[in-house]
Order: sequence, then C-alpha cells, then structure tokens
Amino acid sequence: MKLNTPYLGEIEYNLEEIIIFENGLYGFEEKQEFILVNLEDPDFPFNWLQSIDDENLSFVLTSPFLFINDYEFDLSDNVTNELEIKNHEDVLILSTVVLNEELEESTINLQAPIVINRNTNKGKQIILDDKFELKYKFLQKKESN
Amino acid sequence: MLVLTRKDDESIIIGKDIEIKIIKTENGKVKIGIEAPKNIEINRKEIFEQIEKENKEAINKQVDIKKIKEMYMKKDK
Repeated sequence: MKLNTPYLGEIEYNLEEIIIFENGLYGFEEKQEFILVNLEDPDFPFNWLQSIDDENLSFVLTSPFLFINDYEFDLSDNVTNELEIKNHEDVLILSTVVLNEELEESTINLQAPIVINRNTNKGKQIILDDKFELKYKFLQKKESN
Repeated sequence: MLVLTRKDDESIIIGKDIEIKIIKTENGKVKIGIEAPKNIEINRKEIFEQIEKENKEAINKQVDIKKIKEMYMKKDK
C-alpha cells in the first residue's frame, strides 16, 4: 500500500503495520488507523505517526526515555486490557513532540504518552497525573553539561 | 444542557452505573465524588482541552524537517 504525504513523501506500508487507535488521539478521535514511520536514523531519533485516512495528518513522536532518565508510570489494568498487553517487552511508549525552529524551545508531552502494543498493533493515548509536564523542553541544555 | 439542583450528600445517576455525588459545597467550590466503571475515563475538562491543543501543535505542519534535522545534528556536537 502507498501513501503520498506532503512531509514525508511517498510511504510504502503493509497492512499488518497498521496500528489501530480505537479512540483516536485526543482532539482527533475520528482518525483511528496509523503507521509508525521510523526514519531509521539513530542520530535523529524521531518517529512520525502517519494517518492512513488523511495523508496530510502526521504527528511527530519520540521516545521520552532518550531524554529523561527517571520518567516512569504505571499502566492501568484498563489500558493493559484494552491493548491486550501480555508482555511488557511488547510495549512501546512514545511522546508527541512540538518541534520549534528555536530548537531548544521544542517540547515533548510527558502528561499524555502514546502507548502501543507492538504485538497486537493497538495503540492508545493515555492521560497521566498532572505532575508530568505537558510541555517539557527536552532539548534544553542541562546544568551538568 | 440539563440543569439540576442538588444538596450536599445528594447524587445523580447517569445511565445504570455512573453515580455523581455532591460531597461538599463551600466558598464557590464543589467537591464531587464519582463512581463509574473502570473503563470510563474521567478527566478535568481543562486538562483534556490542553492535551487536545498540545496534540494539534504536534502535527507535522510547517516545520522544515531538513532544517530541524540539521540544527539537531549540530546541537549534538
């Protein structure tokens, strides 16, 4: 299957790569089918969650664990049941990224991560406690550098 | 919108299994207890709206990926 996207160009994908978000993402409840586009570039660790229904719609994602050492939360039974998570190795956690041309102003959303079961290809965006930052400036230089 | 008047300790039932109870009202604040099945998500509306807004900003739109990538690579050095 092929998609012709304005930002990532032509993308080829297989049907089994489609990740189903039964409830969509917040604000995009009607879009349920996505593919995860990985640029396979270890030096530029961003993924794109590309909608199948709408070639113009994709979200920039990254792994929060690459930037924060102590990010952790529990998945509720409700989420593990809904995504049919049996093995925690199957779980992929990603955060939405707001890229900014002032790179250090770019933020990731730690409060509403995206959880994907790689085994069943089911995904869900969950809302955590508001102690997690909605706009964490993940590229800002740390004191220790 | 349905508008009801309730006093402290009174409830309303939505459907068969959602109960919303007024626990305490004081100084313009209302403390509410909610009992609902676990699969019903309950969030403060403003949090919900902030996350919707954040998702809208995370859409891949006018950002120039090539430019961002160049800047990102430079940053690491």
